Amino acid sequence: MKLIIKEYLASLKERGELDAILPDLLSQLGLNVFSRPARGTRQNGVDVGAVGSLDGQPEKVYLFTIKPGDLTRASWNADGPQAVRPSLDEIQDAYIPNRLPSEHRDKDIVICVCCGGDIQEQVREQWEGYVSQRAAGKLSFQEWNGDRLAELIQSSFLREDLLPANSRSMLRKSLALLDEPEASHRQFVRLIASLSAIEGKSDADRLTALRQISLCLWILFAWARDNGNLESAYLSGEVALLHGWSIARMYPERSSKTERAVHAALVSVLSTYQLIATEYMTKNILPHVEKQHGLSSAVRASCGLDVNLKLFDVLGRMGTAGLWSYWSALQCDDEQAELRQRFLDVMRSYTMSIRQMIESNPALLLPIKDDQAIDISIALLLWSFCEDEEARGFIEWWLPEMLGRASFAYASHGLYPCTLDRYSDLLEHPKKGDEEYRRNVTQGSLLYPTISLYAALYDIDELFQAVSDLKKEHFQHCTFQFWFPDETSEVHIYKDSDGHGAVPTHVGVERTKGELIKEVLDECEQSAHFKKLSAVEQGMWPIVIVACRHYRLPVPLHLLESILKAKATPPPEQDGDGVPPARPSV
Amino acid sequence: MTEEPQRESGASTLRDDLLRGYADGRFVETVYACSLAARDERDVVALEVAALQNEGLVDVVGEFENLKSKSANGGRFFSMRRVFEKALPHINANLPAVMRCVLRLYRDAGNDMAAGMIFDSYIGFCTKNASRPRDALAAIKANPVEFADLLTASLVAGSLIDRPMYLAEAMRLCGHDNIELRRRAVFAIGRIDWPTGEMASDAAFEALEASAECETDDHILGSVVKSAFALSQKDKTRELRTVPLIALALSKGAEVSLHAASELFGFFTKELSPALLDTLLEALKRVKPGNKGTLDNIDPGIEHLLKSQEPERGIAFLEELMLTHAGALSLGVFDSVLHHVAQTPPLFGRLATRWFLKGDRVLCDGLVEVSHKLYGANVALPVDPTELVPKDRVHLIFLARKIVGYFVTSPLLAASLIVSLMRETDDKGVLEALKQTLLDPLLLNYPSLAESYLANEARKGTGAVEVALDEAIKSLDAYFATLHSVGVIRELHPSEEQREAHMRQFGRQVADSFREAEKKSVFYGLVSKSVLLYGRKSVHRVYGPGGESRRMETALGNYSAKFDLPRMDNIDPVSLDYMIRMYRAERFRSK
Repeated sequence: MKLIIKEYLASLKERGELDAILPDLLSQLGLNVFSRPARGTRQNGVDVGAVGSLDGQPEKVYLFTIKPGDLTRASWNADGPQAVRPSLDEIQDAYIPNRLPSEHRDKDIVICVCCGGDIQEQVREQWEGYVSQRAAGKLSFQEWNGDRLAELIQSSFLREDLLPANSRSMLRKSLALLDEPEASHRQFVRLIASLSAIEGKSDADRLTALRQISLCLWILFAWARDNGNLESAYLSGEVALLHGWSIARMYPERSSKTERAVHAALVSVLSTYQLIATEYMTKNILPHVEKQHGLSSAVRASCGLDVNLKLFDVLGRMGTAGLWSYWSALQCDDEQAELRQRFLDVMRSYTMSIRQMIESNPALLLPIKDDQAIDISIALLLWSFCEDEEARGFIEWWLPEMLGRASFAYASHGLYPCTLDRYSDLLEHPKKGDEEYRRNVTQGSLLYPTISLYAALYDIDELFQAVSDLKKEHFQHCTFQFWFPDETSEVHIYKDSDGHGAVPTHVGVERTKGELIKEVLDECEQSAHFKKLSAVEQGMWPIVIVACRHYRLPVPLHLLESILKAKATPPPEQDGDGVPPARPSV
Repeated sequence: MTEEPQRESGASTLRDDLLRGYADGRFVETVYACSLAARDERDVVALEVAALQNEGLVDVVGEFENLKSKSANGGRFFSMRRVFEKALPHINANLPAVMRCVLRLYRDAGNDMAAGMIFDSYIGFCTKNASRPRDALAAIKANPVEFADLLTASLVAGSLIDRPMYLAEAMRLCGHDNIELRRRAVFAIGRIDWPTGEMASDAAFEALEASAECETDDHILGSVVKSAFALSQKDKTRELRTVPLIALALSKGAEVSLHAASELFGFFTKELSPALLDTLLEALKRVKPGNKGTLDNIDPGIEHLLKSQEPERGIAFLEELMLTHAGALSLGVFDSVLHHVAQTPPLFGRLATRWFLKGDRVLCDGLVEVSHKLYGANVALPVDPTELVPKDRVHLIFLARKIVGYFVTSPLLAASLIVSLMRETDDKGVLEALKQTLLDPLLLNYPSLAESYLANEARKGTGAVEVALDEAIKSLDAYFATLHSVGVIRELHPSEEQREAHMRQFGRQVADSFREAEKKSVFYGLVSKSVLLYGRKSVHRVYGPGGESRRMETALGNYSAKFDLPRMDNIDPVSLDYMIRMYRAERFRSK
């Protein structure tokens, strides 16, 4: 296990990776972290500052300067902000005299050089010479290399009593199976489920569980990245975030130390999830969205089904990433206008990439599974938050094309959307000329009412009429439906622990656009449970999107509520209930 | 299992074997085994069988009358019956017994084309004694329900002895009350042999004309068609009388009459006068698509016309037939026609150009069926420029899209037709449009075409077509360069579980189609099947007539077939399907 952790630590190569894990580790060791790493320049050489007692020794101040990977001759004393020796000098010359909190000035100070790997032999003498010259009085130096960190992690995060043998085994299996992402993910889900089983546990246990989830996700991510396959890490990141939220939601306030620590641990999980998602997108998807058939070919499919399943999955992921960017923009206040604009630019890049990906990969013009309407909804939701003609133009092109193909495929017993879920069943789909089969696999639909709703929202009359005609002509047997959270959703939505939610059937696609929108708004009004979801109440609504994407639940229409209201009536003022406002300027 | 006659060392004879078999109650089986063993001397067995009957040692007629039916005996039925057929003309036996036996063997043969062959032997039997046809006729008239099937053969046999008398009898029977006798009598008129140089009598024609006029029974009218043609064949000068007679019968008749017409068209195409050919073709358009036997007869007739100096007549009839029965009839039923068109590139080019421009689904589907005969359509063919009328932008592009729509699974064929189309235009816009069609979908789906075919075409000159082909190849290269730049994205790959599920499903599909092919295979019906669990060759023994065995080895071989699947079948199957269907459905607006 130590080897696994050491390997993981050595692979943390970017700033923001090793220093993300260190504060949690120190907290878990019982130290009080008073300075956390922040983006931008270091605080006079200090990446992390903590105070407390280690190994039964007197209370000391620990000041860490962090160097990812090995400490080499170049990183010891090169030019640039990342060099270690200048950082050590800065700590002594500037931080300790000027920035060290006054309450800690009388305490012994330990300056720690923390690296994920080792201090290489070529700089060992220089390091030791430096220490012997500068260590004096209350000031001492320590080397925290990968070995020491791994030992500390093992003895604190992954203690036998905290992370039992079977959980270690699951983590090991998950790492060993990274080449088979689904199998790896299954192991990781088991691991996360065992860690997040916190019924009847103390606050400290819950906090530890959250930190363990964060650490395990980090380890998985580091290994997956080295292995060149982030799939398991991406899926596991979603599960880690959702299970992490299922713990953190119990601490809505941030007044106590525990609550703040829980929040910090959740942020750590969220950051890791977003790091994985960003790496997944920037490395695998975004550079190729414009290439004709580029992503479709990259699937290396055995059959067309593989391409269809994978690309709609990617579509949902891109939409989710875009919505997180949108959410990040909403978190910025007026003083952070520049940062907000950066997030909005990222969101815009996702909408554009979605469009390009669809145009370059025609498989995205027709889902084969009705539940791919979830991915479509996520993408449409993202596009809906762009208040411009481009969004309208895109939706006016994409959805009619999709409906046209679906109608054609249905009429010709082609690859029409169906309710089948198992891969082996989908392989046999469609059974040519089998009318009874066709009815059986199209008994319910989320896709068509979703298309109808967006047609109503964007005043695409022909499309709205086409769905209505399709329903009358071919789909009288099919239950057109939406989904709304109910009173049990809060309990189950984050861990998919049971079925939940309510489904209005007989969605009125055959009535007028206004009536359909009113029907949806009325149901949003009636079903207040969405707004009572902790993620929504606490302003973290993208977590609901992640849950919907991962557990294959329809996206709650409450997220569209303000846009629908704006369509139905003059726009109301934002009520500050955590639901995104209608179309901020993008 | 083949039953071998038991043989005693050295002293055994054919007669002994047959008598032993008779004594054991296995006479017919023994005859069959002996005939197999006799190989090239099977007549000897037949004569020996006849001798046993004539010497009163065996009731051969009675034994064969009890021969198990075709359904019970399988393929051996006809082999066994064949021995009796050869023996029958040499047999002296009681006539009613022979008649019953012949009828039994005829009826047990069912609808097999060889069922009626036994009547030739019966005629041989009857002609051996003048009393036999006379007595047979009497028996038939006395009991038409049982013996009507023997009327034609009895009349023919009688006519070989006394033609005027039996012809007159046949004509009389054409007016008999019993319809079964009338049917056979009309048919017999055509079967009666006329010595060379002797004209068929007016009376015979009159009898047929009377039947055509009065009768409504389809079988009788069909017999009128056949008999009238048979008479005209013996006397070509009666053409003027024959054509209206056949036309009248066909106008009143239905399926049986059309079947008779199809026999004339299919088997006597060379002998048909233009007037008679017109009459038959006009009637045959009414053929029911379900009447496979009739269509099977028409098939060689059309093939003959296509091979003649005037193939247009065959093409026109084929087109009209297909269009009349669009949706119910496919070109696939005309196997000889398919084969001939496939083997005659200019004709295929002509039909492809003409029929794609017409755009009728049934004709275009027919072209696809022809392409399946072209060794997997792995051949290059040009369009027929004389058929490109008008040769404007709309028609050329329409034709190209039809070619793609129907020949999308025969990429070389489709590409070659489009390249030949490109060579027929000077319009840069049309050339560009054809190039795009060549690129997408053909080259994008079958990139190997660029190397295997288009590169050669592009090197044939420096004209606009070659430049366009070169551009298409470069566009394809650029497309693949872009695809390669994506590299390996392992995150997108299907899981091992999914790959295995797909392999299992694919394996099942292949096994199912193999089983289906086995069921339809003629070959598998002729041989026995052995499954080898081990080894790489099979060893079996063949037994000769003397019981000696010969060891034979058959080495196992590999048989494989290669076919290309369009790339888009994986990448974007719906768009491909949609495009193909759209291209197929496109039609010109009727003026």
